[in-house]
Amino acid sequence: MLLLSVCTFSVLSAQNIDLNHWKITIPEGKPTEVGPPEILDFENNPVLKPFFYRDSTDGALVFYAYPAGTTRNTKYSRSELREQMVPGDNKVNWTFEQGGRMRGTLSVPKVSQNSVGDYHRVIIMQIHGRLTNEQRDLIGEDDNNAPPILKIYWDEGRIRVKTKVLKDINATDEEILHDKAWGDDKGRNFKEVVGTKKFTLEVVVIKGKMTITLNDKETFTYEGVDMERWGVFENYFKAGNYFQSRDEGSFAYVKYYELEVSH
Amino acid sequence: MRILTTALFCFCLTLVFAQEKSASIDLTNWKLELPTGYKASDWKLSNFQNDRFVKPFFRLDSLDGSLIMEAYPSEGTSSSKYTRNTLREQMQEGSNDVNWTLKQGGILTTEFQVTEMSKDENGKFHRTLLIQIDGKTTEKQNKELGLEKSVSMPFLKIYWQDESLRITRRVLKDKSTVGDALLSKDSWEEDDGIYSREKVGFEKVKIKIEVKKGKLSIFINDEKPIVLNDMSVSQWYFENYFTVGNYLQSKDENCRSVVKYFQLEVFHKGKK
Repeated sequence: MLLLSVCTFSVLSAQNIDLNHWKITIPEGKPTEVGPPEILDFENNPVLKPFFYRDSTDGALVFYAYPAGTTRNTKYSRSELREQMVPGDNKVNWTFEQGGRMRGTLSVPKVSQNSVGDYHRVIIMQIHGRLTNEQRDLIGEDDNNAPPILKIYWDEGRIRVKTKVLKDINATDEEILHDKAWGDDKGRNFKEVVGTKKFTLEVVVIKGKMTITLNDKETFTYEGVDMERWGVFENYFKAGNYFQSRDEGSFAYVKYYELEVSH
Repeated sequence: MRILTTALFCFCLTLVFAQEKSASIDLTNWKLELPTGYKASDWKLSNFQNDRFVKPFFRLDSLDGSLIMEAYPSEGTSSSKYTRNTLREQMQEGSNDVNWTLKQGGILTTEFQVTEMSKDENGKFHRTLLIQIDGKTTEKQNKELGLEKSVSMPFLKIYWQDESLRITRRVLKDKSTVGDALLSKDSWEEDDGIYSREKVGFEKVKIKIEVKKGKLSIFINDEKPIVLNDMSVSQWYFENYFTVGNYLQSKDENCRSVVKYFQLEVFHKGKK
């Protein structure tokens, strides 16, 4: 009976994450990216296995990362999912006007500490901006990378939210396409402390307003000129383990029990 | 067989006793800072018994259930500074922003014992700072005064010094100071301090600090309380927090001190 209920649970959990709309990046290779439909068979993929696998006891998807290969615009390594509205296609994304919602139930069960004993930080969810090909060509960039408007960190057992603000609110529409037009805000921590326990995060963008809610209790709301002007970009969600350390021997595990996106 | 059973029973009793004792210090509303630069509050601090970075300085005594705070310089200790091993009160878990005024008041009750103290080259014991009430300007005051950073200074300090307790506090240099100047560091100075009536040495000590309606009373063991209610108390408009620990006031390479805390409780009216 116990065995049966465990099996049922793990099947249920698996069904709660539809990998048809996600591409995984792992910190090995150059690094390695696997999208739909190959990602659906991740459990039989020996390359993915060390970094992206199912926990056989609770059915969660485990994201493991340590400092290794990095992608082109970053210095940290990641085991992280990137949303694909159209399976296999990076070019179809969404604007703040169109909106989107991501809800995940997750935990950060194990993270290494630095030489003083501070826990290494992990980005567990993001909304990333993207330049269209026209915008890219207009500002003379050689790729479509734009800043992330939202980064949600696990920070010493607390959930920390960081967003971007315009350095100059009078900058032109073309100027704000540049990375350097945007700065980091001060960041905010939710009151509730999650530690290594399971928690739920919901990110909602609706009509240019962004809200982040922890455990269906406390909500941070972002609106105003920065959010309005972010409307110029296309976006995609990210979820997983973007590990914020280059320290030797450092590592982090992130577990997702549920993850859903809607537009 | 009977002896064995009795021994086992006693052992179990000791275990239960030790566990009950250790549960007596609730660290929920404290933030720990160690000589290494390590900082921990809320979840991180609640996990301290499994954290190898904490153990050398901060651990439970398995026999008497006390919290052992040991201070000695470590790699992270700046050579220009004293060796810090302190708990800072956080009325709101994990936040330094919520503090209390003297008018709102608060009560700290603690029992501790200095068990080890190194000596300087002249054979004199080093001294350690055990308890403080620290004051700082609020965000609101900073805005009104046009300050970028809070002004902060201790209102009250209790040292273990010369085997006694020495109590110092900030007093107004000029009793006629009014207005914004009251929130300036320059308007205040540390007094010469007073010593407890009795030597405490390496014995257990009970201290209660009670701030009530702008009056400050310090109870040491069964001595007559020290009561402060002059201008320097009534004109202190900073927000405050308690700091407790073993802040060793020495830069000597080989300095070392151990303080055991048996009880540590803070109470604020209107807060559970």
